[in-house]
Amino acid sequence: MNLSRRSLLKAMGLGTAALLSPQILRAAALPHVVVVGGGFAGATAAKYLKMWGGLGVEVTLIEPNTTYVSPILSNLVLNHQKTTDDLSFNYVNHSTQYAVNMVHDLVSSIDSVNQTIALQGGSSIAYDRLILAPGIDFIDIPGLDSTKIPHAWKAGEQTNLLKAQIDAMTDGDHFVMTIPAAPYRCPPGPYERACVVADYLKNTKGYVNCQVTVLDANANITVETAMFQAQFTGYGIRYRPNSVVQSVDSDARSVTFSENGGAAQTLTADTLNVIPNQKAGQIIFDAGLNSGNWAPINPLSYESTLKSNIHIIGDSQATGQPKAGHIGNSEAKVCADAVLRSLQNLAPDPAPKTNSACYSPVSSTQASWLTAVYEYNASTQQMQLVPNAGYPAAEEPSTGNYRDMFNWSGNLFADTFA
Amino acid sequence: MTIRRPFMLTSLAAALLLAGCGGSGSSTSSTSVATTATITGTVPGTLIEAFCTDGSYYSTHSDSSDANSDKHPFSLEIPASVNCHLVMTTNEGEPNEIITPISIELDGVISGLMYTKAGFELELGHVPLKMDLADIVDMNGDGVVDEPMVIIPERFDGTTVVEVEEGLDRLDSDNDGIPNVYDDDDDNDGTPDVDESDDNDRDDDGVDDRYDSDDDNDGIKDDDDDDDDNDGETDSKDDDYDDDNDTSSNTSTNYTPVSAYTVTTGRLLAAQCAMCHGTNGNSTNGWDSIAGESARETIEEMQEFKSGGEDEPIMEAQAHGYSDAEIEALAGWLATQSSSEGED
Repeated sequence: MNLSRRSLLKAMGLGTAALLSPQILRAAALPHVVVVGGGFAGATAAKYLKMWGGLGVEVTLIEPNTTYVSPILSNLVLNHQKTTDDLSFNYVNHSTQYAVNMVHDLVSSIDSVNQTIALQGGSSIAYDRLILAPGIDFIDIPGLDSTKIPHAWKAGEQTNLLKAQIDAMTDGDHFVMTIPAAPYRCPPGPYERACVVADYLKNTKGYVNCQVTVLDANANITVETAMFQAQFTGYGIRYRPNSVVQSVDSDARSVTFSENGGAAQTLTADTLNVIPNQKAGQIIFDAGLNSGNWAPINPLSYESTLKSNIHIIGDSQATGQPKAGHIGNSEAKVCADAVLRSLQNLAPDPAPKTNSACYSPVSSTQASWLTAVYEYNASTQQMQLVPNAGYPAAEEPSTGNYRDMFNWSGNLFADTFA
Repeated sequence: MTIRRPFMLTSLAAALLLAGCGGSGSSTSSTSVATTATITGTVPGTLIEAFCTDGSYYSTHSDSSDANSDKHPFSLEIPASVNCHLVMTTNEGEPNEIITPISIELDGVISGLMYTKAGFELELGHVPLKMDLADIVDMNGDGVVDEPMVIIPERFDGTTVVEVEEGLDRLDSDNDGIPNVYDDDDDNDGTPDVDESDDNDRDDDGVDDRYDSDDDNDGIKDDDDDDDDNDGETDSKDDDYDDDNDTSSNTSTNYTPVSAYTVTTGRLLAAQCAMCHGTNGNSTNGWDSIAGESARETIEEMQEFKSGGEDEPIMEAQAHGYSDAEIEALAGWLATQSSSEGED
């Protein structure tokens, strides 16, 4: 469908109207872009589609919840520096400021041939372009019941459940957490959590006899390695790399794992925080958009390499970019721009850039950060770190960084939800 | 057949009274809208209403002081570049009241949904509304004409008639040209709306209260309305309802609706600064806003960061990620953005 050509023909046939007013805007059935998922990536995409596409595009955001709780900063709920209310956002600005159609429902199926999606509420919505931002799902671990053993890796109830369990600890209790194999959401997040909890137990509660153990499926701390190693040493955190979780007893709060490929061993905790391995949101698998655990896309447009007119942004997509809110927001803009261009039959920007930045608290007063810029490599057709720039760049914890963390998150939250 | 009275008609007088008593503080109807457009014309009737997609409501009465004419002039201010439906009423409040939704025909396209750009006037000319119930088609006798009246405006610079797929016009769910607020059967399923009432949409305009900037269609935006559900109980004392759309009351949006997508050099690159420096370069906190700085200033700063000359390691790291040409492009675009601060 070529809108401008169609309206031109109309104007020629009905010359009087056009002659009366040469600057009249055309009337046209608007192209419809549907965004599924209202996290950092999806909410940013919906906002920017309307901010840049304005009255020339109809945008619908489908998200089951009316409130979004940010995982970013949510480790600060565990040490009482923030509440989940502080980290809660809604979609009123999307609706009233940007005229995004808000639909609070779940997608039950996608018909990529007829370009329609069915909602659990019973209705069906047609799309010209579909953008999926479903975040992550967890890979099952035998015996794991997350209502008893929280992952707290999607913020909200889970965060408060883990907070309550930590608050119930007494001196001498044992906090055990498990870190999933990469790639997982928010690379520094688990290490950050171990530090924040250790600091809270030791320095806020004064529990000098509490023990914190980290079972990491990875061979080493995946980011800011030297910094986190120094923190772990300072807090006396027991760090056990190459520890792969095999099963969990959710009532006994025990985890069975293999360390360095050795025989199964079991560790019992007073508070057990199991963050399972991760994969793309279920909708990606249901719609046949996955290759392995993630959704392959073209980084120029984030369009699926498996099905046309469906784009995947944020944690579910398969590029090597980190899975995190800041860069999800960044990817969403590249995608929104490319989608709007494609509706005008224009090619996407040939050299998009994205960036990641993350402040990580390591106590109730100090934070570190890391950042990187990614570029498109036309020969590999992949995003890569900008070469020779020393990425990822990182910095030591400081109280100045802790203060800056709230400026960073404040503008990131506003750029996504306000 | 139950005649569902539109909520705002029964409550309009009360709302005006409240506003007159200072119940709303400062605002009456559309004063909080920064940019507006105007719809003018003449009608034999009295009430002209606009229902807009953000849930807002605007109304005016025509000037009927010339009793010898059936062409009573009106002028209605509506928000610019926001999709709205128009509805006109004759014999308002009388037993023979007739409610006529309006569709606009432009460029061969007919729709009840339209918008007008800021500063433009949509001149409808004379709208020959019916005065006699015998002259209208109204199968269910609810006083609302069954088909919208189609008007070809006299002047329509800056106005666009908007066609959307069925289901995408939340003000008119079944796309029949009769806005939900006057449609006895919003979804055309044969079940009257009175049996399908939506507790989350108090004014039945199709915009969920959560996203409705005027929940009771009394013409007073919720942010300025002390009685959001128009039950006579002020919100502070009202146990049953208070929706101030709180998050929107303190936002200073930089959003200006654009009519069509244009590729703008530097915009996509500059958007990658927004996570830390705010949408369109306007920071919401103590971190620097970068909107409205001269391109030269931004370029010089970025080059200083790149050289390590500033003690700003995170910006030094970021600056290394962009080529000189990219820095020039994003700086050039940011220079075109209005700054929410007094100066840079």
